[in-house]
Amino acid sequence: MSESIVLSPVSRDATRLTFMRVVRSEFLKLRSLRSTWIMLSSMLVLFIAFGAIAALATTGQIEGTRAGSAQPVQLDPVTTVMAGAGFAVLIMSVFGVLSGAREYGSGMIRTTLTFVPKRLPVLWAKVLVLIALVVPVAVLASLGAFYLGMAVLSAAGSDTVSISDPDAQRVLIGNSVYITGLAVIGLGLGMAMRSMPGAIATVIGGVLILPALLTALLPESWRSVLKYLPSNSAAAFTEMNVRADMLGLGAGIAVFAAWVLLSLAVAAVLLNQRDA
Amino acid sequence: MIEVHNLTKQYGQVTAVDDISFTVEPGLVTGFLGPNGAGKSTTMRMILGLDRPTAGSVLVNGSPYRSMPSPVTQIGALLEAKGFDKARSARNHLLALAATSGISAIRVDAVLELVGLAEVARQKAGGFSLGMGQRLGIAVALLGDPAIVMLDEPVNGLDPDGVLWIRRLLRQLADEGRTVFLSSHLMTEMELIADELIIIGRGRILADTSMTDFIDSWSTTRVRVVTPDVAALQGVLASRASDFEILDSGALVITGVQADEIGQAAFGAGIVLHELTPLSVSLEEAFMELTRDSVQFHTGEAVA
Repeated sequence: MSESIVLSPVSRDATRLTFMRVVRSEFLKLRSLRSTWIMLSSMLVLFIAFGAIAALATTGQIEGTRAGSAQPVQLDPVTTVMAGAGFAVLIMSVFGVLSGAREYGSGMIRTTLTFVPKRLPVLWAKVLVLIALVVPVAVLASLGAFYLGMAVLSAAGSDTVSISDPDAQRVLIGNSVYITGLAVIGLGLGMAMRSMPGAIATVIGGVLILPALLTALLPESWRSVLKYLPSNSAAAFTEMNVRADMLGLGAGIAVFAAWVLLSLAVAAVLLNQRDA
Repeated sequence: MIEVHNLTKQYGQVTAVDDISFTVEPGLVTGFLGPNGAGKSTTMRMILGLDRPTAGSVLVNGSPYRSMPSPVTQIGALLEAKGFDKARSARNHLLALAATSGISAIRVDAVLELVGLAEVARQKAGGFSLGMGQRLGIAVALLGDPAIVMLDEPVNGLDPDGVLWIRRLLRQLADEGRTVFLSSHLMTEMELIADELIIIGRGRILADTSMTDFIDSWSTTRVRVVTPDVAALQGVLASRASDFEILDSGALVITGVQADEIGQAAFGAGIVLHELTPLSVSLEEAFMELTRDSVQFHTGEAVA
């Protein structure tokens, strides 16, 4: 027991808090959780699998079980192969919530903020790491769903769309952006609400379900307001055929980006001001 | 060194910490003692900038904690035994925290070795006992080789072996010139560890003294004397004693004079003594006495 506590002296000069080091810390945190890899890989698999299944269904290679569904609904090929995007959005928004609220569940956040007392670098680092993990997987999943789905359609002699089609490119990139954006919104809500169940309910209910529900229930005259909701604004870049009453591409991108930034702004203000 | 100036923390109507000031010096073990709910943890959170003071300020080695370029080399803290993610291994927990300040994996492994967790470093921390969780928390606190070590109830959940280990560790840290600040609600524990003592109750400082002064002022200066000539003895000691109390039994309790002095004085004056008993108030009793009015959760008297 008499040996020194200073087993390998820490250099006071080298030991400094820097933003890139906080980013590295957040990456190590996320990387060392098995749930990170489960969520990312299940997003990849489900996105691609649902596109392939939808392609098989529309070409009649899978028979619907319902009576009278012998005549498959004709969707455009891109919409068909992107059928799994909804699942991907769901999984990644939960992933975002997890990376934001998880530390509050364990009390780890107070340890983290003791190491990074300026606080805000923790939020920005979490955002960067989340984007860095979600973007490649989302792009890979979109491309996988597109190529596998188109191959299925082509094999059945159905119409296909080439990757060089500008609208197909818009939808592929757009869905990757939407998935990543909702993951970031989930992170913002998770940090702001400090509770996983609460933030998951909010992001799924408020951002994904409520807009669709309101659009269906409210009279036509409300459409001019509802098109500004997150999921509706994103329709401009996630859907093949954008309805005329939705926002145009530029406005859609701007409004969706504003929602993402709003969630981060709320999270930043609360993180900075509240007692941890 | 930790300097606390007129620190106040209110949660709504409740004042958790009420205008307290104290200084924690390097090279010593300073105990922060108080009943549950006295404001110890709140004060420690304010020192680390986790809770914002309603009023007052704290300086850690001369600077506010939140503005330090290299905070973990200044102060290492254990605030809660379960402040880690259950799904992450102890080593990964430390590696992630170390990364924020460029602390090497070598240091991480050395600290794990020091706290006795090297064997289980790659296991999920969720499976740790309370004592192992405390050890991991202490590893976190020592990670940056800090000038100040601040621990909230560090002996909670440790087995006797672990308690002994942490006493030696804290002594060694103080001997190396570090500031050691630890809280406890157990006087018996403080008695064995602390050089300096800050007692807090209901958010106010009740005592801020060295351990030896505290012991001197509480445990050895009350003496019960039985003598047939109470008045004569009082007369002899009048200039030295601070208080006389005559009990129902007729015994005299003298405060402020040591038993040997009383015996000497009585002998010199030819006063017969039938009994001369130092009343050793235990430090635990002294602490209870001091904080009696400030205990938040009184237990009801058992009905006989």
